[in-house]
Amino acid sequence: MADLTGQTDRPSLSGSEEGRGARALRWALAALLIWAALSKLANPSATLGHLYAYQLPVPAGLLKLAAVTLPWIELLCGLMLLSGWGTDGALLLVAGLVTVFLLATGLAWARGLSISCGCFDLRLVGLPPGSAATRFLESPAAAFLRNLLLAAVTVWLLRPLWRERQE
Amino acid sequence: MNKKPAKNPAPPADAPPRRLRRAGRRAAGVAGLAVVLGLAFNAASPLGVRWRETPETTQAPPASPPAPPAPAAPGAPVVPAPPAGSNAPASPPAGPEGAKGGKPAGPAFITPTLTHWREVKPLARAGKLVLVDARKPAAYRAGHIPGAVSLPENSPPGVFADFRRRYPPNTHLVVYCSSQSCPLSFKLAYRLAKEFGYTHVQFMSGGYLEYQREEGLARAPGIARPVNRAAPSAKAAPAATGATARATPPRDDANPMAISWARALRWRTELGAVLVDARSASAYAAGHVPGAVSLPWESAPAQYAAFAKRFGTERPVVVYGDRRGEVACFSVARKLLRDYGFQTARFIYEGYQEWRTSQDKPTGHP
Repeated sequence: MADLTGQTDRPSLSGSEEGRGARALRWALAALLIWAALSKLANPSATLGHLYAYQLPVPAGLLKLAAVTLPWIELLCGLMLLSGWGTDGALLLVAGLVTVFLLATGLAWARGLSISCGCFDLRLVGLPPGSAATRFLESPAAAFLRNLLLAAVTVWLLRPLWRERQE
Repeated sequence: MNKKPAKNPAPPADAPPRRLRRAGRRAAGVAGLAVVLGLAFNAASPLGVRWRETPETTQAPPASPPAPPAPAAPGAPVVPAPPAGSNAPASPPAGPEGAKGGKPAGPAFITPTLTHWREVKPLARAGKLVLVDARKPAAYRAGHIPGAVSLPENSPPGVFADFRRRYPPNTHLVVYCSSQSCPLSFKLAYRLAKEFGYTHVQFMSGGYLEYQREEGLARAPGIARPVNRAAPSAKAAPAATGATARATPPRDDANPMAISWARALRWRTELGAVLVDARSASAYAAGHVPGAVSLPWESAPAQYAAFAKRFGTERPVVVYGDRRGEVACFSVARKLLRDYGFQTARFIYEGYQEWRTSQDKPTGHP
């Protein structure tokens, strides 16, 4: 409902103007987020293990909170992006998430940590654990580059917001 | 629907635009909701994160700055962390306290943490971790936690390298040895973390004994013998035992799960134990101990599950077979313990035939 208001507010900038490309990207982003969320929700303890593996200079309590909360942020954002309800808010959150992910994976890459990023459960798409493809896709380097792409998509989807701001 | 468009042309220059503000509010709301849902889900999930414990989960270099040591070559991102000299003695500290001291020397690694079987069990059942048996191969062969991988602490480097190849460094490992008094589990866990770069290593200090105790495999009341998990083999009961060997042969009751008819019947009256007949349905129909429940040893899992449902897993179970030394009753008892979560299950090392002959004599149990 509220989003409808937004659309009538500025029809030239919001959903009604969203092109096919933007919608496809939004849905792709949503699918990716939901996949990531379900992979992590399946086992919070393992998610925490992945976070520990990053060896971030962050207290353990915060990591635990992140392990418990992050998947749900991903899931809710994914559902919002999929449904088109509250897209702006979801995109802002995703931008925040991706920033954190970029920092973490970039740090891991720079340190040369040999860890699995814990991003997605690749078994869900039929890649056996331990295979070369899995190892590549889970490496911090691949994760960092993937996050860069995600960041670009998110920023691009957010552009109506920036355009409005500049006025 | 709305009469607001008039406001849009002139938003206050300093205030953030309405759409952005609304998006921000919504983002905050969703984040809050995620926290609530996450905490609730975590509390409900058997694999959930535990909030307390793990004071030992310290990272060796606590103040490691976020800045990378050098603009590390991005061309070589996936270099394994372990140091080269993997056969150098690890010189592990005396205990977890020693590790907490965090010697600044040496590469960064995550100190193994302490865990217990009741925490490990759900994860192991779900296949979320790898159990590592640090004891000697002979001990492993004599009995180990189902699914555990044998990796003796003093294995040659090649074995470790194999292990490292099979299990990526983010695998959740839980190392155990025989019991509280053995140092191998911590030693091996420490080496796996420090030399081989495993990032999620735990050690189960109670060891195999803790597993057996909690699974009811070594909690036989009144029997405090080292555990012998070997099935009561038919060899142990010579066919000629017959009438003369009424005295219990040591091989039979050496198994902590074995009890005598006398004790079994006492358990039934005093503890309300369920007496289970592990023989075939036809043998049961031909004659059985009064009050015994039929659960043939070859029953389908559904029948076992129905049995568990009918009697509950709390009640002690005593299983008998046809004659002394038969494996059927043992396998039923073990299955109930291992696969159906029964707290206490024993088998009677004498069988139905022995019970019958004892009934014929006036001195037999009622």
